[in-house]
Amino acid sequence: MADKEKILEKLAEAVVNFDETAAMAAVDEAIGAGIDPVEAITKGLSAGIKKVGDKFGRGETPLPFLMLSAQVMEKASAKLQEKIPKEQVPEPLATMVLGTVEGDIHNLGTNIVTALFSASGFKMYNIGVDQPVENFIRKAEEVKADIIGASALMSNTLQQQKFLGDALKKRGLRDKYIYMVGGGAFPGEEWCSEIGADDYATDGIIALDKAKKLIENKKKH
Amino acid sequence: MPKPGVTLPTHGLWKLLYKEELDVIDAAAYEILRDVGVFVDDAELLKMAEKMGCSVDYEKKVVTGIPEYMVKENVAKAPRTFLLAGRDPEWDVVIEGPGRKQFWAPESGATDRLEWDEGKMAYVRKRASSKDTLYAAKIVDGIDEFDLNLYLYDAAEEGQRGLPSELNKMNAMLQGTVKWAGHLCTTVSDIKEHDYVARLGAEVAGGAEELRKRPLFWTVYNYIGTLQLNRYNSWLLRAAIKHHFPIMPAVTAAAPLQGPAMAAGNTAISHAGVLFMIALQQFYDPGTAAAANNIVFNLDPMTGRGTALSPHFMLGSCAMNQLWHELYGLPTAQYGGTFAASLDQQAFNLSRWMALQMAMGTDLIFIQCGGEALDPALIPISAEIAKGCRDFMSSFDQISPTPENLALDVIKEVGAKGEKWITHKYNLDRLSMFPQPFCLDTSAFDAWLKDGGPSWVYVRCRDKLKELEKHEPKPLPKDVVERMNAIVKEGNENLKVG
Repeated sequence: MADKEKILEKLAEAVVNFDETAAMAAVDEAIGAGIDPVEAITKGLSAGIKKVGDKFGRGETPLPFLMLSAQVMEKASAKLQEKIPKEQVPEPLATMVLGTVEGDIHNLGTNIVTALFSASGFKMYNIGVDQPVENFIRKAEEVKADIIGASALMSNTLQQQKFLGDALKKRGLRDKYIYMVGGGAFPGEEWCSEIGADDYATDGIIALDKAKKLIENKKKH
Repeated sequence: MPKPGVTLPTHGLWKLLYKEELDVIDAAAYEILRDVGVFVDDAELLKMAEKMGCSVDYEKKVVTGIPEYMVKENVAKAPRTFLLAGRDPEWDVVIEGPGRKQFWAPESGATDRLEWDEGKMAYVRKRASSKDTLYAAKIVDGIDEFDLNLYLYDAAEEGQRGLPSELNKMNAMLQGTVKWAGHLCTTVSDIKEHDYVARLGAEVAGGAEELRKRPLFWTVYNYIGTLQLNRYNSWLLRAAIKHHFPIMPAVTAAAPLQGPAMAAGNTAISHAGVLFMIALQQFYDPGTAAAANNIVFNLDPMTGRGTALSPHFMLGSCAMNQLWHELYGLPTAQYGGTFAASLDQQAFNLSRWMALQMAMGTDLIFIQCGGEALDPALIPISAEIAKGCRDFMSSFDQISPTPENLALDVIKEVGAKGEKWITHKYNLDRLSMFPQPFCLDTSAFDAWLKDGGPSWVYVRCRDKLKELEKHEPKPLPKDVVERMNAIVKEGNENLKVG
């Protein structure tokens, strides 16, 4: 196998094994060998994270491994991106601002979605828990997000998803963002329509599938 | 003489740990309370904890340095015997110390109702409302295998409209049953909504003081999140203290994603959380009842979702039972169950796990079914589980080798081949030792096959449900209902959100 292929494989392997040391060593090797850093990301690291993401989707790998792999991917990518001229940094599939609504301090679901979506080429900004409506909108404006995602795990906090939808409408921002909702308390399609969200999911894999379709549709129009 | 409850045997229950081991977990819990603490997302409750003698970091909202002596002193004030009152005293649940009697009820809190469409052979999912709360309460009211009545459907539709869902739910529960009406849960509007629920309870009980003596419900805390009382749980605890509502506290950790993977460590966390909540309750409201939620929670590491109960959960529950029964003399309650799935999967999961809860001597067993969406056919399924367990426990004594139970004289009299057993008075007098099921199909195999081989869960239980739906509880007096509905109307107007 050519050296380049071997190095790309090492990058992928390091992500699959969530081995940060191996990943950074492979990054150094890639840089030393003159491999295009974009290629190192897309054909090396991304190949690894796709493998992990697919395994998670099939129920073959536990969640903590997915999150660890995503962390290694992020660190290794960041190091490679230092070598890429700004205008050549690969565009993410989409940029998403994600958080748990005000009053709700559950973050497992949003952490799962962050890991899964990062692994699939999204640029994620996870703003954390107990976030008022204003914080979602402010961050989305700041990072020029494509998608805003709001999670609620308790039936008590569901109303906040409606408030966010209302606030986007009131400020004339509703059409600027794709608005997705979810979380353990999520009541389903009827609520999604009522609050004016574009779509919903209570499962990370389904959320990813829906987000990709929504982005694709938006790009077409 | 109150009907509810099955007397437990004095020995033979499932116990896992020696006293020395319980002491180690107990000590670990105090170490957690001292060094790790509990996150409390409510300024008022933080002040209350500080006044009790704890250290409070108001910026991080963490209570630490919770003194062991203070916890023990206050937990000791919780009553060992207490009453959970039915609207009808015949249905009073009398707790006379831990591990004495076992009580059963189905539980869910589903936000959606699942209706089976025979034509489409598929489920239709509908948002649940207080009408569904009432529907289920009435059915459970009519099933003697259930000692208490807990809400199966949340007033979620009202909540979605910004109305006070707990108020609407509890109104339905109190009107829908003569049994103890179960769980008051978290709300969105500080303790104002609980104040309205207190008024409802007082109407039914005959006054606030009567409600205190004869509590018609208690407060139940959602337990997601490690060592934390979110603001809704905090408000609920303050409301419980204010109105002298009994509590079923839980503060836990979801292993292995948000808590330690081994049951011992996670049990220490659950135990610590319950100790803290009961101590706080008793400091401010001494003598009001408390029963420890024996939950030691776990999630599925493959999906991150709440999973079918695991060995971790069951082992932890058993340890919690022993901790609270043997070290603190208080009863335990459980509401572990299964997530929404097919009826047969739920029936399978619930029957095995509830049998373990039975065997470990949990005092109040709430068969949690459905999760987010509930098919009411789970009510007869739960009744079958409860009946099987009740029958087991209530006939436990038959295995004691007393002369009467051994019946050696009768064995000798009947002799080998045993032809006379079938009509012997000894057996005829004891046929009740072989109880009939609630609704299991006992027809002969050929008859069952000829009938089309109907599924028990999907056909027999649905048929049984139709029969159960006919029950109507004894109604409240008209004037009481009018005042209750007026309280709800006032609450709806004053507490509407959005």
